[in-house]
Amino acid sequence: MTDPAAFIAVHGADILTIAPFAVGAALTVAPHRRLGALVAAATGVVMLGVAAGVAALGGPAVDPLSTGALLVLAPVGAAGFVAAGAVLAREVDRRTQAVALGLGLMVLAAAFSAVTTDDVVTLALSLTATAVLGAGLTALAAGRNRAASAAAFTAVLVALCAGALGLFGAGLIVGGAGASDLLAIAGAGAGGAGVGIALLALACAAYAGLAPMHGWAADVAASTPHGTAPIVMIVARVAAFVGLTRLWGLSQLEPASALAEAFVVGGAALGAVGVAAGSIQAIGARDARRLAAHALTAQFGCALIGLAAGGVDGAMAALFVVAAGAATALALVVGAAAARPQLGAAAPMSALDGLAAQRPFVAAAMGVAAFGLTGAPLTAAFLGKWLSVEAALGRGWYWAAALIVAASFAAVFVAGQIIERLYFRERSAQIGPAPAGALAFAPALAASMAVTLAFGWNGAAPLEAARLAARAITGAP
Amino acid sequence: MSGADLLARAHLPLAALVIVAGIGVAAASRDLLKRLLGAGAAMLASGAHLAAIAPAAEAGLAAGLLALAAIGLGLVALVRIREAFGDVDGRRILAGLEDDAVSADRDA
Repeated sequence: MTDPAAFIAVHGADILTIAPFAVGAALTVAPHRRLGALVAAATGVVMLGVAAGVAALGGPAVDPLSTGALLVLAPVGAAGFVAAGAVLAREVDRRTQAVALGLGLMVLAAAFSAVTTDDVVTLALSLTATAVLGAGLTALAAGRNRAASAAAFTAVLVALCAGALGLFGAGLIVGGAGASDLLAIAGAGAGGAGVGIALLALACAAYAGLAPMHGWAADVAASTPHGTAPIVMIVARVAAFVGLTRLWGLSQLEPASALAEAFVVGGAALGAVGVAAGSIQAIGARDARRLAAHALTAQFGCALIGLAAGGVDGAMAALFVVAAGAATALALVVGAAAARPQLGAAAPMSALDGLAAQRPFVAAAMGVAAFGLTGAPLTAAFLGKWLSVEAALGRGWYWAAALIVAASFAAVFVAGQIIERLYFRERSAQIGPAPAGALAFAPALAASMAVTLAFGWNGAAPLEAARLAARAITGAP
Repeated sequence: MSGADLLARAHLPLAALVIVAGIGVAAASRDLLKRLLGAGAAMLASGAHLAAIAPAAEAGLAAGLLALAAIGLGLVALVRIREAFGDVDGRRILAGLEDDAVSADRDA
């Protein structure tokens, strides 16, 4: 092992947090008009390399759950920043463009911190930072989209309220268990520490946009700048869900405790609401990014049901569903950016009309993502939903299995709507031709399509990664 | 009992009270400024609670700074909302957003 490799193995998590935060802060404080996009894209790609290095080298820097999370978040971040350069210039003025990229890098850093930390206070602070910075990013779009100011304001309220709950919960954990390290507080689920864990989990659920706390996430997704949408609506939400998963694992170390039971009941309830609300609202969405946000909410609901069902298989199903959902959402969000009208900040569903004729690759990627939403065979989502149904049936939750299957049928309407618009309609003259810059979207779309199809064909590798992570958080041998 | 002892015993229930009241105001009020201040007070209270518990004083400071940044951002957003929607009545803003969504789709 060479010295740089050893350094990454030991300090990988710190590098992933400090480097993008420092670059992002520098870009925000001293925005450079020309270099901003290049620096952000380069930082995203380098962080992807570091994350891959951390995953390949193992070492003490991260556990299997963190490794899996990094392998989902880092590609989304890198592909998002590559695409951002082509989009942001048309959404915000040049100086603000660098600020937006800087804030995006800081969101990425905070998300990395949230998924790699084993300290409850750092977890709460990191997730609060992702929400506050994400709200700032959304506010930058307010100049050209008046809905963005209201969405940013709502995000601020969520950041403050969830931050209050999460930090108070972290304080209760520290006060009750005498430590803030997750390993040290394992088994201290009774009394104040247990309440603290529950409050922190509630905060994670709000940050992840789990139904019924998902309205703000859809508002932000629909009005944040297209260029940084993958960071705000996928990276930040998935990081929060990973934090929730870690707390769930902590609660299950004493399976018979009141805390464990509360997590099971609460998780199943939130999961059921998420699957139902996300699926129904996705059908009625009039904005492509809002649709993607609701679809991700439904995927999170499905994952929560898997988690609540319990055991290694349930956790494995949950992690796989979230990874597949992130890949699907990436294609929908970046595809919406590629299809957006020439004028205007929104991405109405009608912007997808006839996209296949002008941008066949973009349309193909969105089509694959649409099939992924339904959980169609040969897509990664199929495997995830199958595992979730198995976990639910294993627990005897026939209602949950039926709900997941019903949600897949509901997703057929959503997918049909997308495919019909992409391939069987003509793009109206009012929307104008699809904007230039399709090459910048290629990495994100290609990555999403490759993950959705390749892991749908053969999911052995991600399943093994999910199994390792599930064993790590459940304490199973 | 000294004032410091009293504070040490009282900070937990005080923080809990402020958090519940703050989130309650943030959830129930129609005035966006009150909602922002309620949520901000709740977050500041949790930061103060965290700071009072050793060894997390730095975390309390960080939480306070995050809360102040968020409140500042919220105030900026409020100014933009006033410009765009005319007032800070939550119900009207929701109606305005609905109009936006409808008109965006119709325009497209």
